[in-house]
Amino acid sequence: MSTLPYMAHIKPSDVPYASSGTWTLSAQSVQLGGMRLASSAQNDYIEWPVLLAAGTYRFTLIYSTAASAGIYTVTLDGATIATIDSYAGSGSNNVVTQASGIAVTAGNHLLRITMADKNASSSGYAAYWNHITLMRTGN
Amino acid sequence: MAAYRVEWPAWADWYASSGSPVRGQVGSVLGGGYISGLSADAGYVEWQVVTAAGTYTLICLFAKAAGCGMFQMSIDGVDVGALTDGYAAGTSWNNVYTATGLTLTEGDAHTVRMTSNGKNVSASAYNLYPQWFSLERTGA
Repeated sequence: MSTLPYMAHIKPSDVPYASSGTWTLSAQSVQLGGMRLASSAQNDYIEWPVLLAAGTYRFTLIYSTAASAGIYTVTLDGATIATIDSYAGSGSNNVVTQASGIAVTAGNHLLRITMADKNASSSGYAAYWNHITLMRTGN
Repeated sequence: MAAYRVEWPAWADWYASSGSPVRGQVGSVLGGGYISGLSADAGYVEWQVVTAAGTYTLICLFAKAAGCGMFQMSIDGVDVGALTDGYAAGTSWNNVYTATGLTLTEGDAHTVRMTSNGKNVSASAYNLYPQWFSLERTGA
């Protein structure tokens, strides 16, 4: 039994708790949610507090791939929960990557995404994402 | 203290479904997208939400189309609101479904489910095209 949320949604326009680098918000007519947040430098990060009930969660990132895009490292309270390579020679919008089986304790947590690395084929560290979800899937 | 208002885009993620919903994006639709892919009668998609105790209004933004069926919303297995026809000869976005006076308890997750339930004789399938949901507390 819990009075805490079973899901958390983060959209690009949500004010972050902390960030590093330059993250640019823009309206997008071809991306789910109608907006995106972008950055271009290695180790740029952005983070938000998420209040969650205890349980097992699934993380979902909806983003764009590009020839200049990097590899996201996603952490919850400093522990890595997903590593996502957003490089593609021919880019696409609304790409979905999920990570399951994330154990979460009740209360506030910090979710951070960092553009930490890049595919050897990528020309840069660009980040283009449009939605983040944490959804409780079990106890 | 649990929340008085919970809202979520249908396309972001879902707790369970009868099949494999497909995320879709169309220009300027409210909520920035929708899900499709649930084309069979009795197909469903559901979310689990936690709210404070009280009386709530459930709102669903949805699309109508020639291939959409009727749908019924339920909370914790109990039908709420009216059986709603999703059929339209031409696709129509941002339709608003509303169910009011819903009593929710605090301390448990509530399962909000959208289920296809039959279809208009003119409809070609039973699709569900939800865009966005919200549950908002309107009273004690």
